[in-house]
Amino acid sequence: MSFIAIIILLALTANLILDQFLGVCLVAETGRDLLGIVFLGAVVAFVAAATAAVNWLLYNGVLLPLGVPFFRTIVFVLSNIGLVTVFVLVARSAVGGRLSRIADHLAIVVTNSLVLGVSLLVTDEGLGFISALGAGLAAGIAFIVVGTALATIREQLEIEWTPKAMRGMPLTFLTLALIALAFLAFEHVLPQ
Amino acid sequence: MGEIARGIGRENPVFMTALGLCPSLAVTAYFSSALALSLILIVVLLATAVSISLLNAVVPKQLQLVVGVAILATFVTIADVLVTVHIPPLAEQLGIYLPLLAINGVILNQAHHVAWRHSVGRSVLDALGRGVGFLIGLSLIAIVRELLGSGTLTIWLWSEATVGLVVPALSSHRVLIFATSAGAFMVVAYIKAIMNHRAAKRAERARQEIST
Repeated sequence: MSFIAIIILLALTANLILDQFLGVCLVAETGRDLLGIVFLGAVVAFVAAATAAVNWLLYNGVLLPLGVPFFRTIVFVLSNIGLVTVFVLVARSAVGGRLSRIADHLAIVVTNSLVLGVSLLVTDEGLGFISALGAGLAAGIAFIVVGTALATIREQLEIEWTPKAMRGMPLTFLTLALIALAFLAFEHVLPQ
Repeated sequence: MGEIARGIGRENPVFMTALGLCPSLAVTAYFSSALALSLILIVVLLATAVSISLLNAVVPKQLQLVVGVAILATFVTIADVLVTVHIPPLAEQLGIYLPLLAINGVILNQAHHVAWRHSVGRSVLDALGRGVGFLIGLSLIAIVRELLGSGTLTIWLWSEATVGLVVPALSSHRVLIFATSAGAFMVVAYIKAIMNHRAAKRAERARQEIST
């Protein structure tokens, strides 16, 4: 599958968040600050792409030749933590205290299912290296697309009257359900 | 007993704290897969809780997160291998959601707040409560989704003997949206709303009792 096709597939047709339930908590818990969502999405894209690439190399270069592909879970988890720790250190020393939000975001993102899920999906589907990078990028794009849609709808919902019992998590999930329904329209974007 | 009851009810990991719910929602289209994943989670959660409680005097605080994640990932890998070898169709059905237990919020949260700080006994009781709470929460979502979306209730599908039933009235009038991901979000939203409503009513009643 080509680079562009994998991005369209995972960000729209089979949206990683809405269709595969990866990172639902992350998207449901982010606030209504659009710039913050785009920023967090960029961090997700960067980390997911970097870890997907490293994990692809580990899986196809080490685990498969050694005949132990089932070790992927523990190897991916530990390599993700290692990689993100390096990123945090670099981010701290490069931008200092000014953008310390990056370091916080990195810590949230490392144990998120969106990041590990992409690496697992890539190895499950047997995708190539370029596609793995595309899948990581798609995770960030999916997060930004769903996150901004959700944030905008929630902003309007705060003005409207809503039943007391529905406020908070129920409305967030109901909104996600409607966005997921809307995304069914993308089903035939890719030629079969 | 208090520890167990808390995990099932007031601090139910699926509805009260929305933890670990996210990727696990993917297996709730059928009760059978939700049940299987929950049972695997309970086993992994108990094993992790016991190992961490035994280690909590030895491991320095700064390393707790990494050691905890490594222990959890090890048990998930073991569970993954056992399921793949013995029940291959189940492993195929659960797909990436079984290895994703390695970063499951329910287990990580239990490890962080309880297992690293308490004795083995307390930790096991707490883990059991949270595990059963997860099982009940996920099952509730799955039962609603499967009954309305497919008109069936499957319990075990992955060997010669399959256990499950077909509800004729529902299977001829399937509401397909419940079988899609949108249905999952919707069912979670309404179950949570019903729980909010009942909690508000209870609080109201308690207030009235105090004032009279």
